Amino acid sequence: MIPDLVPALRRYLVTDGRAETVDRLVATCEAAIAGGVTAIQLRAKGWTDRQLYDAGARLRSLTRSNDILLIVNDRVDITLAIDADGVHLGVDDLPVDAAHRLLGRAKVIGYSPERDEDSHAAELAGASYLGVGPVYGTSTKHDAGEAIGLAGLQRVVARSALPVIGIGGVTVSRAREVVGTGAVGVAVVSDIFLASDPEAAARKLTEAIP
Amino acid sequence: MSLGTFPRLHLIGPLDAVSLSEYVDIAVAVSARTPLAIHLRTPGIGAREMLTAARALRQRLSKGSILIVNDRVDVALLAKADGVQLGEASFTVNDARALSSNMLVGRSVHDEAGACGAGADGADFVLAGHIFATPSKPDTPGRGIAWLSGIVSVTPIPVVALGGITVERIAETLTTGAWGVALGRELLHAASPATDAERANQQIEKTVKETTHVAAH
Repeated sequence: MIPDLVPALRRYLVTDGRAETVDRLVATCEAAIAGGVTAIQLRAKGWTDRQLYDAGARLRSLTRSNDILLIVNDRVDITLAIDADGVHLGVDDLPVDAAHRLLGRAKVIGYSPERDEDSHAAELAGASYLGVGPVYGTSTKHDAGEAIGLAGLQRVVARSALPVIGIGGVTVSRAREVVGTGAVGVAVVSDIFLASDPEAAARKLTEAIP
Repeated sequence: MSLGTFPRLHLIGPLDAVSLSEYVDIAVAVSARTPLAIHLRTPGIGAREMLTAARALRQRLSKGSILIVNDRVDVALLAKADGVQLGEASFTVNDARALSSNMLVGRSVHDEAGACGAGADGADFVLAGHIFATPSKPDTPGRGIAWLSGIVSVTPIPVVALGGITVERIAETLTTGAWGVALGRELLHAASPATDAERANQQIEKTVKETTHVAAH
């Protein structure tokens, strides 16, 4: 059973390959869940498929027992293999309609548009939510492009029928202003995932945007 | 697919030898002359572009040739490929099989334990290499013909030998009992890949016939 999508998108943690080992990645997610994140996206650039699969399988049981949304970046095959709740796609990844065909109606498809027309096309093709950004400058994704700012995010939120989460340089202390645009949630990477105390960082996020 | 129709000649690319669109054109030209297995191996290329290439190959490859996609089971399914090729750091054979029950599953192996495991896991064939020195692996010498014989001896499934294999080396390679050979740069950098592939296939057929003839006596 997929958790109700909009509330599940509220505090969305994206993992990072800098966790280096499957054990560390899973342990960090566990701490962040204890601190109140509502969704986890498995993303770990540079990892092998086997590592992603292993991490995904472990995150699946962790997220299921905590009612947390589990999304896999880019890989529809890993999404299916571990029975994640959905996949997150960018413009260079598999097309949304193709992913939809493999995943069926029951799975969630997130999409990161680069231009206004991408959002609309993704919506028609069956996307369930949009990850929009970078809201701020970011060091996590070097190919992320120019920051669109809160105004840019607000513009996409106003035009989109899909729920939108703000991503890109979003820290715990900026979360409140991000949801102030009408975004249903925030995607946080480094500020929780690379924090010395991920649980405390996630708890602060939960306090900022309950 | 029965073993009898599983191709003995394989082409692997584009690697970084040619562009993706050049590779599609080369593979199509080669398959028009010689039935073979075309492997799509595209390190560093996004899934969207990979799917476009896989679909183009699916549409344009001649009858008798098969399409095998490296690592991405999702791309293989969407392109209706004939198989997926997995490495040691990829999905397990079982995981891939669960998603694609009627596809061939190949495993790349680098030692006898890997070859043994691939057979036990239910892989349909293994790619074993590299046999001879190749620019793809400049820092490691070829593992050699004796090594290949060892791989063939530990697994009942077809072994396709890979790495530095030229037309001149096909006979020697197949005397090990290997099912076939995979060529990459050797064909991609040829003046006429289609002509060389045809020569390679003729050499394979000749060697297989001779080997079978000897075995019958």
